[in-house]
Amino acid sequence: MLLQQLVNGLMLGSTYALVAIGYSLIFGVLRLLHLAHGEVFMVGAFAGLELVVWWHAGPIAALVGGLVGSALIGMLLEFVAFRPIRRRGNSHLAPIVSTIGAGLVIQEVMTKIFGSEQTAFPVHFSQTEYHLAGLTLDATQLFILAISFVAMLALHLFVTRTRYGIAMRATSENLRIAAVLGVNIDQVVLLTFALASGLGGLAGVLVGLNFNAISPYMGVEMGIKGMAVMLIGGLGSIYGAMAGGLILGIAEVLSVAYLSSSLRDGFAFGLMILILLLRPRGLFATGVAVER
Amino acid sequence: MRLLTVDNTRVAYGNLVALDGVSLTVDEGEIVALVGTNGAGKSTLMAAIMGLVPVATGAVTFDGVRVTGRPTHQMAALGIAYVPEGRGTLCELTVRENLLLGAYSRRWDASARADLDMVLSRFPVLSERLGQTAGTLSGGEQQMLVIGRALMSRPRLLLLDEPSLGLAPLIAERIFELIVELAREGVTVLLVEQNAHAALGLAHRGYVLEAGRIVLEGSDLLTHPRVREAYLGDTAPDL
Repeated sequence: MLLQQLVNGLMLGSTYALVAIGYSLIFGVLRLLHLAHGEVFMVGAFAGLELVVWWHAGPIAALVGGLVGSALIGMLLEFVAFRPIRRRGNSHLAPIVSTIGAGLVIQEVMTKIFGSEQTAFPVHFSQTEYHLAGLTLDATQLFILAISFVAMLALHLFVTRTRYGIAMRATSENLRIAAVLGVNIDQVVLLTFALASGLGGLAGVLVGLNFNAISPYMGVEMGIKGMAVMLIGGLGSIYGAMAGGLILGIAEVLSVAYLSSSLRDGFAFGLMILILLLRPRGLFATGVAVER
Repeated sequence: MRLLTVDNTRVAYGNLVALDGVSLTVDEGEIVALVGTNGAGKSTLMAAIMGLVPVATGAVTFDGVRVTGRPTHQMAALGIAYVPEGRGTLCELTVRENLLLGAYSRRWDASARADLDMVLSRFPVLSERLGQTAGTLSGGEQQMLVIGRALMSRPRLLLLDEPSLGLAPLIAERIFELIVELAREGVTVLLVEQNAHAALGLAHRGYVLEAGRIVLEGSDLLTHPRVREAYLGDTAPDL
């Protein structure tokens, strides 16, 4: 039973991790708290939904749609809402205010288009259940676990094995030095938004599949959780975001199973506060993430 | 042949004038030393060449191309490599990743791998540490790493800002020998150093920068009375 709960927690947590990685990537490169990232995640869910409703897309096509839709929105935000403000210089707060505004605009536009009610996410999976060592997993759950872990592995390979990935980590540690070495920072920032937002969109579709319900407000809660997960993981650390997301997911599932479902968020956030008390800079503090 | 020309360049941070009309040239194959006290504007001059600080008036020309106003990331491809004061080690990246980033502007092909081997044979200590994060290296090793990283771009001009700062005398000595070696191999070097004696000793020419202006230049600065007094500590300098 405990093992089953842990697997359920991993499944939930992997979607948190995908969203939190986005916060971390963007914070790493720009030292920017991207408060519209939850809304970018929500757009991904609706992009996937549209493909399913209009073209009867399967789960994979819906994921690709969510990934691309969110990546495009993320890059658009960088162009129209963040880059122009960064160019004007020195305020650290102005870009954050801009992210809040962008989030509200996206939310209202989506509410106008899709209404404020919850919408079902009608992707049909086989109802087969798989039994393994006392665990029961249905096809949806397996799919969510597999996709999110493959995405995290792909990200890991990207940032450690490819020229652009290594340049992204270099920019994250020291923007000036990266530029001196020939890295075009604007390009890296755009790539970071695409990647972070794309992973968020993936998570949006996965959450839609998991709960079979999406709404224009689903990004609010997810945004807060993703940000909290980034904090417990360590600012700017993508591995911290992965670990933190899984921890939050497991904590939520366990508290529902063994305490009470009404205590879910209280317990999960209590645990996160505890982690921050013990390790104020997060689990994977990078040491240079904040100073520059 | 003239490689670098800094012409009447002025840089100001708000009301503070950091460079007040500085002119300087570096010819191909030369080692040129730039000495001066803290705050004289030496590092600002390097930052201005790299496009890291806005130049108010004046111009920097590299190999006949005006580079003033160009974005920093284009400098590496043009052939200027810069090792800033404090080294600029990317501490969270591995030694190998640091070195590869030196070749960022020219793709990671067979020639980049050949250059990696070349750098590693020059600094064998780095080849034992390729997979370690660069932050775990000692100061001297990090200085070799960042110079090696700069060499990975096959630079025509190497800007070195205080390469001996914080190093043990023996290691510093090794870095100075390396600079002479590089110049002999055809790399042009502009060197900023607090160790004026060593810098002027190995350079072909030198400039003295005071409060944002060039006050002296020449190939025999080591014997110049004003330099001896103010920078080489022959007699107590006026404070």
